[in-house]
Amino acid sequence: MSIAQTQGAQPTRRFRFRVSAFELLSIAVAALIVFLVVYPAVVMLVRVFYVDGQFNASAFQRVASTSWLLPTLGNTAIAVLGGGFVAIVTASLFAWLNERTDARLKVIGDIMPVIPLLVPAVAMAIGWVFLASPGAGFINGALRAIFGPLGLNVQVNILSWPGVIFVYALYFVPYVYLIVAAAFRNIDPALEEASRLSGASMWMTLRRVSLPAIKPALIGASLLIVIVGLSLYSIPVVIANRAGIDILSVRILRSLTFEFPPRTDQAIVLSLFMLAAIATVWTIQRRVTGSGNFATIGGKSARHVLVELGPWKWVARTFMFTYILFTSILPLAALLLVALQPFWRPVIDPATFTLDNFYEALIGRPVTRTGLMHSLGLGMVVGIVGMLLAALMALYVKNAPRSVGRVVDGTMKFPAALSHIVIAVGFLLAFSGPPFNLSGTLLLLFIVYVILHLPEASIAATAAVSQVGKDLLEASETSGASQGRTFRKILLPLIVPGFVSGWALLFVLTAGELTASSLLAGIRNPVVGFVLLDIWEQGTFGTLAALAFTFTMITTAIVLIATLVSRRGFHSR
Amino acid sequence: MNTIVLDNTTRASGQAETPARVRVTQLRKSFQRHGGGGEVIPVNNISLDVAAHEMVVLLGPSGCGKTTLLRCIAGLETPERGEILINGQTVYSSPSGILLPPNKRPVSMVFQSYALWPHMTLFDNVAYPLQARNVPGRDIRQRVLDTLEVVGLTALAAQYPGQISGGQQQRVALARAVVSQTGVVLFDEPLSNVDARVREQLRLEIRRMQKALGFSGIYVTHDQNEAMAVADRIAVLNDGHMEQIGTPEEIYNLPDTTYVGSFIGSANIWKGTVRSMAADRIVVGTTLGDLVIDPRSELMTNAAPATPGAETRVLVRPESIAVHTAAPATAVNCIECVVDTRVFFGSSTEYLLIAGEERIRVWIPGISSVPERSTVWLTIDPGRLRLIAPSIVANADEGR
Repeated sequence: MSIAQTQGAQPTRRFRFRVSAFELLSIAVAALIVFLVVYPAVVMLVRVFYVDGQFNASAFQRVASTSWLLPTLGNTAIAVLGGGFVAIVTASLFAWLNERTDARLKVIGDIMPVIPLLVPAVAMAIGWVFLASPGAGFINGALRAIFGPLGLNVQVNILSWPGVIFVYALYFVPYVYLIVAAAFRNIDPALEEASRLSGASMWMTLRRVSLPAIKPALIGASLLIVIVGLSLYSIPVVIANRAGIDILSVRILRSLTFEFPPRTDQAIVLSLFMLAAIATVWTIQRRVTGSGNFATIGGKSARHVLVELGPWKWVARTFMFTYILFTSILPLAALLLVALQPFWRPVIDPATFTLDNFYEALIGRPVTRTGLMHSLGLGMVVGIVGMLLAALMALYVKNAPRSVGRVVDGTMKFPAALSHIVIAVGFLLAFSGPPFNLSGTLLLLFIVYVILHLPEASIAATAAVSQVGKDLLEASETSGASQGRTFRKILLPLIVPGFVSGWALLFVLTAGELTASSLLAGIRNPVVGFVLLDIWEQGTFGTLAALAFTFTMITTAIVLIATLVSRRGFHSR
Repeated sequence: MNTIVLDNTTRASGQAETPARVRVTQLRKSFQRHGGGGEVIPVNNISLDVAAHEMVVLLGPSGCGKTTLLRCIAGLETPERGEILINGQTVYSSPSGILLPPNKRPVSMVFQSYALWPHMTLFDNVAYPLQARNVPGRDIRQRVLDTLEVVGLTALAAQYPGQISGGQQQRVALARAVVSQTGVVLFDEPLSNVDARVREQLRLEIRRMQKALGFSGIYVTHDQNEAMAVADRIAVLNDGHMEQIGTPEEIYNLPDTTYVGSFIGSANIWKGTVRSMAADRIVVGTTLGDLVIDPRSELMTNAAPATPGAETRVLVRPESIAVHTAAPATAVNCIECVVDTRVFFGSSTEYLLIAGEERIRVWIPGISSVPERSTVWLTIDPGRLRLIAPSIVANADEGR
């Protein structure tokens, strides 16, 4: 067909669309989301660049002239890059062991992705302070008991540069593992077999064939780590801060909360630094993964022949179990011990154990109790609302014209490109004062939590919706059902498994949220993240440990139950 | 040999008076290939009328546009030009800017994948269209049970789709499509996911249900046997165009084009030039020599016009050719050939014969055992040849 004829057909495409109520709702929700994401960013920029109605960049000059700026940026880079490097090496090794060798353990593959959900980063960080603080840490107590009689003084110190990098690395490993393990799974095993049959050793195959094939995944994982690491607040505020290491994320939040009057312009300028770094990395990532320089290795992956490690198998497995031990079991045990002790000391004496700290954390201190209730309640509501919005948008994107779909989808994912800190600062500026006056309300926290976790909700909902065959929805439409009925009666029931696991994810992320909570919550609207940091500053470690332990147990239980529920399928023969 | 039944008069006569249940006028739909691969026009100016109680099959190979046409009628795709009327109601019209969503159109659809909702019992699946169309609750139960009765699944009403067989699932899908009595049911390759034995049984059942319940159907398939079994009329589609529409007998015996001739059944099609024309004989020169055609035969009804000196195509079905092991007495349409291969099919024997450059397919009923590589003579009755036109689509597959 000629182009002229196609163009001739264009004018007839203008239709008097009768927009259904469901579409109106979808469009309204999409518009609201765009507003809530974009408006705070605009307010931030206006606040910092327009003083008395004039363009003014003096805020930049003031920050640039401070003595701490360069050390802070340098420290942040060292922590993120150092921790990231250790994590990439470790996680890639884990991925290779689990995907390619007979050391593979199903439990590792299952548990690795959910570790950050089972143990919130703040609980892990506090746990490690209890484990490896100089003097009072449990590990140091144990080391003294072992090496003391030998006249040796062997001690570890988590409140140091190696300690900070170590905990950063623990935190990063699951992110890298997920990406690299998927890459290993997707490589055609014939590539590696061909190398082995060409006479190459296992190591040569790994070096010359396997690693180059997963190179894009490694690059992608590195960039993700930079994004995640820059925004990370829990580990810096708990560990780096005590070690006297100034990290950017802590500096931003302290400008607003620890100084009076708050140094808003300073916080915004630092946020823009962070945003610029993230935007740079984001752009690089898009170019790397979008270049198509590497083959997407799809299709049904054949069975891989596993590399036999011989005696190394158990070394490898011990290594992987040690990681699980370090990220979950040891920190949790330390939290439990400190919670049970009247006061924190590196000696374990069951005779002194008491539940006073749990009483204090859950009943005695009203702020703690209220904070826990608020967080659990907000977690549940944000989970439901976030997933409903995301499912609605996923369906809308599926049916809408491609260009509209891209805009909506991009907006849903946009908060991931900002950091929690930037969004929280934006919300503080945009909504706490007039005309909204939401300062100190749960509504403000609710909205910011929903916006912060839209990307996760959107990914979960899109995955769930895409698993529902298009036919099932079309069959409903050709049965005379409106779009609203199709959404309620067909789509929602069918995505229940994905919806439940997405809900659990949002619940855990919301209930344990630290960054926005430390900025937007207060005595009037306390939440767990705010209370944890508040007690941490006061140094009442027993109560802190009891609260962190209880909270971790609750989130773990929710994640496990949700996993079980979401694995239940539909009736089949 | 075979008797030719041409009862197009009986089947076509009923259609003239009753108004069309579905009327598609000058419909066009195109889209751009991804990555700038040019334009695809799966529906190119198609017009189609489906009468009350009539089943029209859209037949063609994959990619010919038949499913797109069906989805345009259902409202699942938006055409760019043309008009669609269902039960006299305009559901799509580009001149007047009307576009009804699928749920506002009086149609039901049966999907290739059955598309039963796995979280609902069979009863709930069948009740759904009634609930969606706001049928009062007290009527729903009886209508659902009645419909399940028709497909013989009343006993399984409380089961879930995952608990029954594929054939049973497609019966439920049928029940769901007919329960709301929309009058028009669209079938999108409904039987291609069930195994061969169940398929034959189900297509008879679809036919029986259609007669009993009296709905109009549009049925998409790429399987010509299925098309023959369920159709009142078959529309043969080729690359977005409708090549021919007619009863199964018309389509088989009186194909208009090389594409239709070769897609439905097997056909020998030869290129030739009209040498002479008389009231009782047309002579066409081909690479096989001169062929004599009887223009008065039933097979020449609505055949391609013959002009002396013009190029034309000659079609003959494999079963219309006789094979002789000795030179026959007649010289009319007698061609000497060599047997290339012989395949025994049980009810018939197929020979592939070679004459010069041409390969000729012949079916002899029952057992026939002429050895390969031997010389034979074939004869064709002048009344069994038909002149057809080349396909309107330039790249159409000529003679398979």
